[in-house]
This record gives sequence, C-alpha cells and structure tokens, in this order.
Amino acid sequence: MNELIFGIPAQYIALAIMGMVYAVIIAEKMNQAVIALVASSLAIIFGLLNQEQAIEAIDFNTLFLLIGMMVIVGIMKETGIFQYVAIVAAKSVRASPRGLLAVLSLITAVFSAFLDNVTTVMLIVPIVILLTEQLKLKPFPFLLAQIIFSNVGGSATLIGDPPNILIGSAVGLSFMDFMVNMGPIIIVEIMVMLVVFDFFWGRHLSTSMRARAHLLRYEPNKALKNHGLLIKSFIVLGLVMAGFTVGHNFLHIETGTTALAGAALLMFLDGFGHNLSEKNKKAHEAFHEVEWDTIFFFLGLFVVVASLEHTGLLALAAGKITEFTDGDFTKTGMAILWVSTFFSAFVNNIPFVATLIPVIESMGDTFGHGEALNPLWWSLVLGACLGGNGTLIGASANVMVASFADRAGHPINFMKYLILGLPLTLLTIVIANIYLLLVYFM
Amino acid sequence: MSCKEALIPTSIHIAPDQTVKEALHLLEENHIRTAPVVNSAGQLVGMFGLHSLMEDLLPMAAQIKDGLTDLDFIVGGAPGAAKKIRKVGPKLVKDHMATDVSEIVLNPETPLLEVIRMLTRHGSPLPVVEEGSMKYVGIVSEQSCLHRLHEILAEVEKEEELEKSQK
Repeated sequence: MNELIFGIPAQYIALAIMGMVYAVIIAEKMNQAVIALVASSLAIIFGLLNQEQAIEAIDFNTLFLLIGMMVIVGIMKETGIFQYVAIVAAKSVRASPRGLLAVLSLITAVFSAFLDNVTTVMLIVPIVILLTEQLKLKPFPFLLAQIIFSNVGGSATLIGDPPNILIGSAVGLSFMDFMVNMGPIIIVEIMVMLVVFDFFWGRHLSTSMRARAHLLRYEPNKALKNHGLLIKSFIVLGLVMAGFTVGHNFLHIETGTTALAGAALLMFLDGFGHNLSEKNKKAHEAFHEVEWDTIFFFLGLFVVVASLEHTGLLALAAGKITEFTDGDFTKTGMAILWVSTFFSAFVNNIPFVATLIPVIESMGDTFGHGEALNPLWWSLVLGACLGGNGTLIGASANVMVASFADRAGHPINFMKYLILGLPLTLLTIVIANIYLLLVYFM
Repeated sequence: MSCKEALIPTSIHIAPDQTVKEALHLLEENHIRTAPVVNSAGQLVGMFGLHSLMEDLLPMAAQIKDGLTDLDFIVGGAPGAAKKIRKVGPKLVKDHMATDVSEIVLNPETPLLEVIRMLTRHGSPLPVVEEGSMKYVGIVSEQSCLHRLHEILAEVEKEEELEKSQK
C-alpha cells in the first residue's frame, strides 16, 4: 500500500506514531496508557485506519481475560490466603533462612504462573520483608529471588504473563498448549535457579535460634480473614481452571469468556446474603480492582500495531528478518529468542510482543501457517518473559520489588541488580535455547 | 472568627536534632501527646508525638505503603516492639517525626470553621504558621477551639437576651 497522507507515505506516519510510543515509554515521561491512547487516536485521525478497523483490531479476548483475572484475584486477596501460604511455608522449613529463601522463591514462581506477576510480588514481598526483619537477615537475596522467580514462573502458563495472553489469544494457543510446551522447561528453569540461589546465597545464610523460635510461634490461621469467601474463591478458581482446559478444548469457550464469567460468578457469590447497598458496594470495590490503565494501554497498542499492519510495514519487516536469517527456520527461531530477550530486558515487553505477533504471522508465507509456526511462538514467549529479568526495569514486577525495597530502607540500584540479574537471565535463556533446539528445531 | 482567636501561642516545641528520648520526656513533662518540631530559624519542620513513636515500633513490613494490613498472625511480638523503644531512644527527632506537615498546617487567618474541619480530619493539635515563611506561631487544639466557641456562645446568648428584653 503506497497511500499518501498530506503527501507523506502512510508507512512513515505509522512508523512515526509507533516510534513516539516507544520513545515516550523509554523516556518515562508519560503514563503508558495515555501515550497508547494518544497514539491510537492519531492513527485514526490521520486515516491510517478508520474506527471500525480500529475496533476490529482490539483483541477483546485478551482484555476480558485480563479484566476477569484482575477481579478474581482482587477479591481473593482479601481472604489473606496468600499470606497464609507464605507463613505456612516458612514454618514448614522450621524458619531456617536457607529453607526460607527456597520456599519463598518457589511460592512466588507458582503464584506468578497463575496470577499477574506484579500482583504476586505485591502480595509476597511484604511478607518477605517481615520475615527477613524478624530473622535479622539482609533482604537483598530474597528480593532478588522475588524478581527472578516471578518472571520465570510467569512464563509457564497462558495467564502467567501478559505476553503469553497476547500470543495465546492472537495465535489460538490454549492453556493446555502452554502447560504442555512451557511447563516442563519452566520447571527445569525453576530448579536450576533454586540451586543457583542456594549456592550463592542460601547456604551462607544464618540466624539465631531465638529469632527462629519467634517465627515458629506465628499462627498462620489468623491470617485467613473470611473463610466463606475463601471457599467461594476456590470454587470459582477451580471452575475457571476447568474452563481454561476442558471448557476450551471441548466446549470451545474462549479464555476471555471463562475469566469474565468467573469474575461475574465470584462477584455474585460475594454479594450473596447481603442487602442491595452492600452488594453494590462490593461490586463497586471488585471493579475497582481492575487496573484500567493496563487495559487501556493494551487497547491503544492493538490499534497502533494494526495501523502499522495496515500499511504493510510489518510484512515488510518479516521479509527482512527471514532474509537476514537466510529463510532458515532454526536461525529465525534463535533470532526471535535472543532479540526478544534483549528487547524485554530494557523496554516493556508488551508493545514489543504486540508488534512482533503480526510480523511472525506473516512469516507463515515462508515457513507454513498454523502449527508450523509454533516453535517461533515458544521462542518469543521464552525470550519476552525470561528477558524481563535482564535489568531492574525489564518488567513491572522488577520495578515493584525495587520500590518496596526502597520503602523498606534496603534500596536495590540499577547496577547492583544488573551485575547479578543479567548473568542469571543469560543462564535461563541458554537453557531455554537448548530446550528449543532439542524439542522444536531438530 | 479566625484561627488566631483559638491559638495557643505555646513555647513548647522540639528541636530537630534533639533525641527521641529527650522529646518523649518533654511530652511527658507537659502532659501532651504531640509537639511541633521547630528549627533554629523558627520554622516548623515537622510534628513529633507518641503517634510517630508507635509507627516506629511496627515491623517495617507494616510501616511501608502497600505493606501488611494486619499482624494478627504474629504471636509474642511485644518484646520485639519493646526493644525497638530502646533502639529509637538515642536517634534524632528529625528522622522520626512526621514531615508531611504541609497538609495539616493552619495560618492565623484561617477561618474558625475550617479549623474545626481540619481538627476533625487530621486530629488535634494542629500547628499554626505564618503563611509562606512557615514561621511557627503556635498550635490550635480541640480544647482551645471549644473554649473559644463557648466564649462565642456566651456572647451570642447575651445578644439574644438583649433582643428579647427590647421586645
């Protein structure tokens, strides 16, 4: 398409708009949702696409999945279940610092696989700060582990990390597809990281018996706040998981519908037995748990990426990439893994993944469409999610942990993190690379 | 009716580089819970009170923003909190006072009704400073405010009686 807008080729305008989004995100001068909305408005005003096409470009399945999970988790966290699990785990290792580092890391990895990474660290880091203070331990290795394990765990499932939701929804990869393909490698990555953390930090940690005895007196049951709500939450969560797996495979219910239906059911159950004004208040609070800025960030990005796509620019980029990798499937997969790793380490991985999805889709002309492209998608998932560990600004969870560390008077600076985080990231990517080569590219 | 009518031009204040222990002693001696912290230039720089001390006794995880919202599950935490009193005693007031005073300061010209609103929202006492220079003038408390209102009521009643007798 060589359309001209005010005498300028449409492609240049689309590129300038996308460039502006990246520049503003990197410069951290504006809220991400606002810039995404400004950019998508410009794309429509300049006529790169009309409103109808813009609405068509919005992946509502992704938005519904995000909104549904945000509501469910928002209600669930009121029950104190997450603190409960962390305290039980701490007691299960008899409050030994070495064991504590391992169980808190593991909990974060598992929670991150099923919850948003930022939500996970917001729930677990305060407990980490409490337990390390009680045991008079330096919180740094624990906080570093929180970052690394949240990003590693998040890679494992469809709902663990936004890039996965984006890819899964756009390409039609299911919850089970993610479990089967990403589950095993992420379990390996978690085990390797547990060993690494134990070797460098865990085995050197020590504390007094007195401090440990104090921690062993904690009563985790007291952390549980609302038993009725807890049971309702578990029922809904079970149904949602069943919906993601069985419902998706046999009834062909999309994940967005499942998550939103789950949120609706939990809100219904939560309000049960209360009068209308209390019901309204509860529903209002539940909707308040949705991070609307994240939702509008996605919404804007979908439109901006579609405007790039409409100008034929992304197909052009796909052509250039396959040219660069000599049309070799393995080389292309490795290029996607490593480029997305380095990209995600420095910029928010969401716009990058959103842009790369149509690029990889149009590589189907070279490599075959549908399932033939799956190895490339797994390369993108692993690069984009694990790459987030590369720097302190690589993922929102990292920024959140750093901000907690700051508030608690144990700041983690960019370089201190980079020196340790980057080698750990490279290690996880090398392992991912071996896995991809052995399983998909041989 | 403005703030200055209810003002207590108290001279009781704490210097930022006094120790927490000294400051607590001063509060106890004067039977008060909170006192303004004033620097050598006479400007208000913070408020120090039993409330600030209580905050310091909590585990860090409960002090920070978005931190733990309940500590129900911690059994036997009292000795730890008690030991923290010993720890903060020799520290300087400036590191343990509430510094975000811009939200709670009044000035002599603040209308009395706004003073009452501020007292109900932010607690008592509240510091009064000269607008702009932040120069410390005194405090208003719930008591001083009520005292002034009683005086006003007496005046109003006198006027009402006067009106009645004229009819």
